[in-house]
Amino acid sequence: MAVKIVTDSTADLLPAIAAELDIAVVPLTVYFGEEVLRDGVDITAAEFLARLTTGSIHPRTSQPSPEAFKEVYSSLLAAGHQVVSIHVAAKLSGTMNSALVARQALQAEDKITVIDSTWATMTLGLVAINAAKAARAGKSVQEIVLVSRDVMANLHLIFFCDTLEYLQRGGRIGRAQAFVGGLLNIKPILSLWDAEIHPVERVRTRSRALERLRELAVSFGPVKEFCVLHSGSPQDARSLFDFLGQRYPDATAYFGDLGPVITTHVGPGVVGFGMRSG
Amino acid sequence: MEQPPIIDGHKLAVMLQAGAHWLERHASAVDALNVFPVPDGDTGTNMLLTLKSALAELARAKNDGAGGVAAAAAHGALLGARGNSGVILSQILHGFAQSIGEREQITGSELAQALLAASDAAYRSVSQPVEGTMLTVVRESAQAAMQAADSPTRDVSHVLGVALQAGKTALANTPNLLPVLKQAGVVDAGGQGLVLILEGAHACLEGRILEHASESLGEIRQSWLDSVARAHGQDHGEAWGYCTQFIILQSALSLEEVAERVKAIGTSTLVVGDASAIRVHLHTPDPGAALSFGTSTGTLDAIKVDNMSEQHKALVASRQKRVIAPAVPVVAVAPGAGLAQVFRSLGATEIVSGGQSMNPSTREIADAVEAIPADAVVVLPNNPNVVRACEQVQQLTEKRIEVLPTLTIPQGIAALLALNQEASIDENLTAMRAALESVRTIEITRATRAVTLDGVAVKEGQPICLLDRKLAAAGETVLEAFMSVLDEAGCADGGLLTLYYGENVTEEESRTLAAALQDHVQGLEVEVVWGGQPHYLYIASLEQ
Repeated sequence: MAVKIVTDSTADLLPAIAAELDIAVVPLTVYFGEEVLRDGVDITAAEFLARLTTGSIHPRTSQPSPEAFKEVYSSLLAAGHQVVSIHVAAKLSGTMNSALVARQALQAEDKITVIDSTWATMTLGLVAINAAKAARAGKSVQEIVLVSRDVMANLHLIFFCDTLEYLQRGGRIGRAQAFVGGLLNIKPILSLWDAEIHPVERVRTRSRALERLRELAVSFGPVKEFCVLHSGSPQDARSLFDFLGQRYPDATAYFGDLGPVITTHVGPGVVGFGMRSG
Repeated sequence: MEQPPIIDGHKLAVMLQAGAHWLERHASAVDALNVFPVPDGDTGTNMLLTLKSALAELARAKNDGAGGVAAAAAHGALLGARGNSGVILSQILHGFAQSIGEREQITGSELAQALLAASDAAYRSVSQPVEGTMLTVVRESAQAAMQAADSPTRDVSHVLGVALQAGKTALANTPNLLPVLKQAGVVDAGGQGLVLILEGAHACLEGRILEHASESLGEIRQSWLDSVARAHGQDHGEAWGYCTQFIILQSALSLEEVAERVKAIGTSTLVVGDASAIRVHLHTPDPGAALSFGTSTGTLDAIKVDNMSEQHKALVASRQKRVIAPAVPVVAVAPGAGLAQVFRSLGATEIVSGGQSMNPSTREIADAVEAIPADAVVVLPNNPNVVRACEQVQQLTEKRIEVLPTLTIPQGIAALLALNQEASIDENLTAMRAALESVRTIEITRATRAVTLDGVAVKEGQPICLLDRKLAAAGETVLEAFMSVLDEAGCADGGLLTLYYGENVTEEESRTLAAALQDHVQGLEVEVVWGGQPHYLYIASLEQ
């Protein structure tokens, strides 16, 4: 009997990491018209990008069904485990709802703890990773919840987009709406906090955006862990990753792709970092 | 002629008018002294407009004494200050007025002290005073006046005469103090403007007439403006129509006859003047009828017809818009309708234009600031000649005014891009200051004079290119001038060049230039945006 961690595909966890830490990932869905694909299962980040940039149909996303959660939860419960299920911000997605409905259907409120991470993508990933490490170390559910809350309170997520179009279309543009409508082409630098997208700065070129990301990344004080993700910009992302690696040689570092669901909402050409300070 | 021992209020007012008039006669000549061969921030025009604003305020002087007149002039100059030279002039008048205080009249030695106070005020107003400019001229004039006031012949005329003489000597010496003047072969423009004002004032004091000037010109203009303002105040717009104004020259009808006829055509009528020039103002639904009447009795000048209901609608709309201000409001100075649109689209709250000279007055900027219902306002001057006028705004308002040192349009845009309404004003100021440093500015215009500056030989009318406000290259063609500057600006790794094209350039020409530049420079991306600015063919930002 142990505590098992469950999260969803918006955490953008590398499959290897999820496997190593025994984290169960419930996939969201991406639709190209009528075609239904499970995020990270039926379509990879690279395949998705190709379709996004060349296809004519704009994709949509949807939260996992309660059924998808029931499946994962029941098999874990059957093995005698307890579950801590950590998910993308309820303000941004209906994923939490599906998890809660599934828990209720299984009548497993005492065995399944569902946490609204208030984060998404890399920072959600960092919460799940730390929870899983605590679980592996034999911590109790309450201790794991405390670890998770502590991580949640010390995260930063900053990224830049090629265009605000995808955020607008997906309806998650939040306060970055303020950056829309200028007569000049700009690269918006944005942050996620309090489960909402916020405007940080507008710059005119990708290189300036990368430069600013570097400057912002080192402004949070001592860094314990960081994560650099991108959608189709591996070189830019790698240079940011290397820069942070040199600045914070003792920090745990992760590098990877933004998954299909997240990319639907931010578009291609995005580079960002998630960071745990403190 | 007997020299007056004192200057009273009336005399001071007339002396200021004479000084302004003498400057006006030579304003273009002073403009031509501008060392920089670029057509903005003309010293003669700026000083003249500042002085005229000072004179306009005289009608509102608290009393008729020298102190009252000086204070009114200083206040008017503060409001109307344009350009660096205008601002320094306004500070000269400020120091002068402060020294005179409540005095009804001033003696020779009091005049000398006032000139010294004026000089001190001028120096204090400049963060880094440079010799060989207007400052040197005012200082040496004041010092000479102080010495003269010590001597037995202390009358005001003698003191002012000595000051004028010292000013002329100082002016002639400015090329020896400021190398760029020597290079260009001219004396300092601001200093020349000041000498002209002193000269006109001195001649007036001595009863000499340098020029046949209508001394009461200023008076008529001010009282006319007041009358029109009253007429509009009383007209509550029951019958919107057209506000129609014109001057009838060589009228066949007498003033009274014209007044009778105009009353029959419209409302809120005003008719003043004499047979040679009659000013007419009226509100009418049929401006054509009014103008036809005018042409039937004489020739017309200074015709102005405004659609009052449109004006009213616009005023109401703009007032309604300003009920709520953003957390960090920004006033930006932008010459050109296209540039104004760009600034607005990026989040500027109010735009001040500054007209053909691209130099708005302190009052115009203050009006924009006052229209925003917020306690603190950030101001972007976007031109070195406008910075001081922006800084003066703090003296006219209780709001917190933060003037960012943006010296060019691209710097202003870069600063505005860094604006984040979610951050505090202080956080924004820091981010905006950093952002404006990250862009380089290229400006292309045609040289207003032939000159050799910093090794660059320029022919009048030739396309010249400035890099970060310094003359960097001249070329036979615009493309040539641009290419040599891009080399210097270090475009080796490419970058983003944004071309804002001016009112004298077509979009097609701009796109052709953009394509040529992209072809010639590896990795350079060029964007074309309509700016609509006067004088400058292109203003461009270079970002890496």
